[in-house]
Parts: sequence; C-alpha cells; structure tokens
Amino acid sequence: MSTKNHAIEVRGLDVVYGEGEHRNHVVRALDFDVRRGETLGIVGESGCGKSTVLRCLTGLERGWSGEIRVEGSPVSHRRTQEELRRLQLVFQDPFASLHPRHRIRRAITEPLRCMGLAVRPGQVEDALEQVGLPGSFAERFPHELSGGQRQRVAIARALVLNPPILLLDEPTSALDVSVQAEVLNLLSDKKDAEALTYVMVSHDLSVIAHMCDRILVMKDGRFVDEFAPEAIAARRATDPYAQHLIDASFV
Amino acid sequence: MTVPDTKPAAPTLRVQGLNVRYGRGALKAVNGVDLTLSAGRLGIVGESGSGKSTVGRALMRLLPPSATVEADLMELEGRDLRKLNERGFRKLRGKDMALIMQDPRYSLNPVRSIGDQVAEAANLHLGLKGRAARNAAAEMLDRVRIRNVASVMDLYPHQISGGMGQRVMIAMMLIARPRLVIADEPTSALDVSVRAEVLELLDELVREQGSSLILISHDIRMVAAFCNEVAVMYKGRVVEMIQDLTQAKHIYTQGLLSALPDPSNPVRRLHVPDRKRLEQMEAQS
Amino acid sequence: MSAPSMSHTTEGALSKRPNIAMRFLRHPFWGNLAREPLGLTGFILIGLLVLVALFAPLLAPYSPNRQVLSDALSAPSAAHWAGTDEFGRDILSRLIWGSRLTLRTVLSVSAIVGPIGLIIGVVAGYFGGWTDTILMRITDIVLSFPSLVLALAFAAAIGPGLNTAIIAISLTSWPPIARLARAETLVVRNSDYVSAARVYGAGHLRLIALYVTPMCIPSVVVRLTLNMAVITLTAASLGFLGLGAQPPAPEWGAMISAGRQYMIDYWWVAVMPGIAILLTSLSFNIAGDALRDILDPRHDRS
Repeated sequence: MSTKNHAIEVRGLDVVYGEGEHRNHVVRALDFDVRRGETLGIVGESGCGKSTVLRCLTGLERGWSGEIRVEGSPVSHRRTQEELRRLQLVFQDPFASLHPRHRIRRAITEPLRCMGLAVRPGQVEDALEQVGLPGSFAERFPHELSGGQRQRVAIARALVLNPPILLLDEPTSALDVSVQAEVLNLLSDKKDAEALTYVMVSHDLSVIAHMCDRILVMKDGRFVDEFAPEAIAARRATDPYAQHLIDASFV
Repeated sequence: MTVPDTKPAAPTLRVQGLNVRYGRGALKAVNGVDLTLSAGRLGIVGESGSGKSTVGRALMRLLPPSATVEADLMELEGRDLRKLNERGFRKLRGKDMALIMQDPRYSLNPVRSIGDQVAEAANLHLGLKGRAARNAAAEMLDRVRIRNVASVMDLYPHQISGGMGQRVMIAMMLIARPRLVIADEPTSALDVSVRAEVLELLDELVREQGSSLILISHDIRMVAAFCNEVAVMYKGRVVEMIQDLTQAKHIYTQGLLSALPDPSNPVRRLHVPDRKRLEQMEAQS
Repeated sequence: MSAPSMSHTTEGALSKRPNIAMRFLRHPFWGNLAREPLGLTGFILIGLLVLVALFAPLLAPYSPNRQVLSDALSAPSAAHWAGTDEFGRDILSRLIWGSRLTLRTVLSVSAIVGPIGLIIGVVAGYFGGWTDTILMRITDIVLSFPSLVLALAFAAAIGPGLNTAIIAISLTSWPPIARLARAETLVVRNSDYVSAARVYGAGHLRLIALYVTPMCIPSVVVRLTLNMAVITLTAASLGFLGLGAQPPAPEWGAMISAGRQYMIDYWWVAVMPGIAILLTSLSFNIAGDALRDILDPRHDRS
C-alpha cells in the first residue's frame, strides 16, 4: 500500500449544507484515489456534488469532513501556500474566472505575487506562448479576448505555479465545439509535457471519454459506477443510472 | 425536402435572402439566408456568432429595435410576414408560430403559478375562459407527460426541475397548435439524461399536430439525428444543407464534425478546424 | 498597437503602453458621455461651477461683503445683475463667492463619506457573519438619525460653523454608501475570479484591496455624485437654520434665510440663491444619472 504513487487520496469525504429540515447531504462518504500522472474523470448531472468535490480538494469548501491527502501528506481545511501550490483549478466559465479590471499580465503574475515569488522578465510572455497565445496579449483586458483565448489565459494562470496536479471543472462546456477541441488538445499537450495529474469534472461523456483514463459516475453525492473510456464506446456500464447516462448522451 | 407522412402541399415556411444587421452599416449578422420548410424538421446548426439564433428571432420578429431585417421573401403558409404590422404579428406569435427558448427558468414568469401561465396561453390563443382554459391547460400538461397535473399546476417555476420547466414551456407553446415551432437550444440548459426525453416529446407533439419544427442548436450530432435536413451556418451564411452527417462536404462542417470527441473512435489529439483556409474561402466568396 | 510611436526615449516596458493621458482621453467613457446630451449638460454645469468657485475673485463684480446702504434692496439691473440685499451687497458677487462654500462642503463630505462607507461596506460584505451583522446594525442605527437634528446637537456642542455642518452631514450620509458597497461585495465575493485568487493563495487584505474594492468603486462614485445633490440641499438647510457658515459668509442657505423677511416685496433676495441651489443640485443629479448609465451596464437602456 505505497501511497507514493497517489497524487490524491480521499477517504470518507462528507459535505453537508444546512441543518434540520434544510439539511442537504451533498457529498456522501466518498473514497477515491488519483494515481500520479493519471486523468481521472468525474461525470454527473447538475447537483450531484461533483463540483463540490473539486472545491474540497482546492480548499475553497471548508465544511467537509473526512481525510484528504495530497501527494501523500494530509491537508486540513485551511491550506498553507505550499499545499496550494500543489494543486490548481481551472474554472468552467472563462468569462467569470478572470478579474475584469486586471490586464492579462496581472492575471498571470498574481499567483506568483501571492506566493511571494519573483516574476522573471519575459515570464508572462513565455506563459502565454506556452498556451498558444501571442505575448502581446499581456497588455489586454479579458473583455478584449474571446472565450477560448480567456480559457487559455486561465490555464496559463493555473500552470504558472507549476502545480503537479490540475483540477478541471467543466473546462470546455462554455466553449464552442471547435474551440473546445483546441483547449482539450492544449490540456493533453500540457499533461504530456509536464507530467501533470488531472481531475476533470464534466457532464459531457464524450469529452470525459476523450480525456480520461478512468471515469467515476456520480449521483446524489455518491459514486455509482467506475469504468474505463472503452466502456463508453461499447455503451456498457454496470450501474443502471450510468447506463442511462451513456444511452442518453449518444442519441 | 419531402417528408414521408405529408402530401406535397405548399411549404409552411419560405424565406429567401434574409439579411439581419445590428446598428447602422455594421456587419451582417445574417447574410442571405434561404430556408424552405414543409411539415417536417429543419435543423440550424452553428457556433456562437454564426447567426443561428438571430434567424429564429428574425422569423418571430423578436429582435431588438437596433436590428434591421430585410428579406426578398418571408412567407408562413402563403402569408407575407414582411407586410404584417406589429398587431397582426402579435396575433400570429404563439398562435401560428411559437418559440421555445433555452432556459425555462428565464422564459417562465417567476411570480405566477404553472397552471395560470398555461391557462393564460389557452385563453389568449384559443379564446377559452376560466374553467375551460384551466381544463385545456391541464389536458396539455398531461400530454407533455407531467404526472400529478393538478398539484403541478399550483407550483411556481422555481419549484420545478429544468426538464419539467421545459415540458411546461412546450405545453404553453404548443397549446394553440401552431403551424411552425422554433426551438432555440431547447435542451442545452438541461441535464443529459432528460435531454432525449424532452426532444422526443417535442417531436411527438409536433408530428401529432402536423406542425413544422425548426431546431436551432450548436450540437450537430443531435440535430442531424433528429432533423430531416440541417442547415449549417457560419458567420451569418448557410454554408451547406445536408440530410445526414456523411454528406458533409464543406470544410467548415467537416471541421466541426472532426472537432467533436468520439468515444468509439478515440484519438490522442482532436482535429481542429483549419481557420486559415476558412478565412481564405470566405474572402473568395 | 495602432498608436504612432513618437517617443524614442521611452523604451522597454514603457513603450508597450500608450501614455496615461492618452489612455485617459481614449477611454470609451468620453464617447459614451457624448451620447448623453443631458448628462453632458450636467457635467458642463458642474465644470462651470468649479471654474466660478476657482476664479471667484476675478469673476465677482464687487466684494461680497461691501455694503452700500443707499443701494439696499435694489432690483436686478445692469449694475447689479441679481440685485442687492438688505445691506446693499451685490447678490451675484455673494453667490459667486458662496459657490466656494458649497463646493467645499460637498467635496469635503464626499471625501469623508466615500472611503468610510466603502471600507465599512466592503469589510461587512467580505467577511460576513458577525462582522457583517454588527457593522450593518450600526449602519441601520445611523441611517435612522435625521441629519438636521444631529447637526443641531452638534452645533449646540461645538458651536455652529461650516465645519460643524460638514461633520454633521458626513456622520449621517455614509450608511447608504456602506450598504451599496456591501451589496456589490456580496456579488463579487462569490465570483469565480475571487475563488481563483483564493486557490492561488491571495490573502484577505489583497482580496479586499485589489479584487473586491475596485469592482465596488464605479457604483460608489455614482452614488456619491447623486449624493452631492442631497449634500447641497442639506448644507443649504443647515445654513438656513443658522447652523452652517456664519454671517457675513455668503452661504446660499443663509442668504435665503436673511432674504426671507423681504421676500414679498423684493423677490430677488431669496429667489437668486434659490436658483443657485436648484441648478447646483440639479446638475449633480443629472450628472450622477449619466454616470450610472455609463459606468453600470446593468442599467443599460437599450
């Protein structure tokens, strides 16, 4: 049972919102591991708790109980800067995840400044070129960029701290199909180049099947099924809900 | 296109040379679009900014005042839509042509009960009053397969799920048996597992009533599986009309198709549309 | 970058950005303002008022305090455009000098109230919980104080005067700003870009100063501009009650108060300062409305 091969280990993760009558058990005693270098997909419909799981991993959600280990060491509800640097998040809506009054240069250097790291000259331009954008975009504001370009900036921002783990919360569901392909390709390239570990959450089974090595199906706060992407191609799942999801996704 | 279960009557909708511009002298959001639709299902597919939603709204005359709409021909069952004044159009809207929008959370009135809203549609378009309107509403809600109609009618839009909301929308829009139904991304705000259900329901009702349906969506696979004919739009133009995906010849359509991840054909990297070639083609046309 | 490169001296990082003055002038704000004729009028009137206040010694035909008793209560004429008051002082000159008092009150109050309201609102909204409850209860209590009554109490305690008026108005006019800033903060606090900043380790101070506050400033500026109309009126009311600037200072409210007893026979004594107050508060209102339309896309009228 060597934990060295695991980027993330989660045991008995529980999230409950509200009390009494309004009690809402969002995540129910989840156990899962993410192997180093793997892309884990979590699929589910709205309200199933999949985004909450990511928020717990990043420390945005503080009301969880259970055990979370990142790269072997347990993390608590409040994260140290060291812990934050191991794991960054890419949000769903590129129109909402960049500060509207910060230039792109600012957006990309903010993580470095927050961590008290120096900004190398030319680092912003390099970071932009790494995600396939011209360095001259550094002086632009987010509203001067298209959705796909913004999502590239968001990826550049998440990668500027060199985290070994990247969490992706529906990273392409707000984008057009052709732009989605570009962003997914970028994510695959980055993963190969920097040996990253991904946890990707989505409702789109074909995107998940394309990107992930292993897929967990989530419903009402629980994982109901686990399969490899080939199972989606074969349209075969063990759980009836997962089967329904696959059937409904490919009319 | 010929659809098996209809006689070769005059087309429901004929549109030629539809142009839409926003503001003065600006770019054409829709550029010379021709559409002909008999009883059947026509799909309009495109990415954001392709003008697909603008076409739907131009047909319903629901564009903001800053938009100018021109067309060489715009006929619904032989009636010239361009000549109708605002009052005439208001009678037409809902009664002869209906629009189903993306998100029922925004298209239903949040402060009125479901039953009241559907009954109001019955009152407006069928001239039914009081109990008769409510009965018609209940019947229609039953037809969109809502269980416990009586109790659902007393609920408010925020108390029902997205899928149910969209079924209520369909009930409201189809109660007057419109000749033409325009559905603009009717399922993209819904969960995957209820999308198929809602589409099938829409299809079934439209067939029963012998209406025509325009399905506007970004999802080319879904539209192609569902419609007799698909118009692929790119930057305001219809670049090609196809009956099924294997016919796609235009590089934009092909690009769109190859950019979709396909689980039964896994690839390491997805194909990305060749934007340079597209721009070249555009410059030539 | 389409700007013609004129400067050879500013190289490196500087040359990448157009200079600040150019950026200020190229800001879409000015184009939008040009499309709002009414709002533009408001801004021009305020601009004129500021110029009048700045150049009062040059513009005023007479000294504001020069008494010519033989000319007392003479009607508007070529010599005295707005007539004279009961001491034979030129009303126009007094109005011109009085604009300084009005502007000083308006600007001082805004300068005090803006930052205080902003900080209280942002802190309450950002931290929520008990901090929010306590700060907002205080805000509610202050909001229920009538500013005139508070000013009366203040005048009794520290003596009437312009500063008393400024303090009294400031004390009662920050709560609306704080509420507004709190409401904006509640929205911004839950936005993805603030969540993203938390994930990359931004602390509370940084989030408040660099992420939340800049998003609240436009609506606070709008509110402050609209507030200036109210401040003008409140300052005039305090002057009218004798609690603002003391005689012989040409405070507009005090001028109306003094002219009141002659008003029936010599209308200009009270009407002229009234017009000044009306125009001033009207221009602040119009300008504030225009600012809101321009800065706040949620009030888009198209």
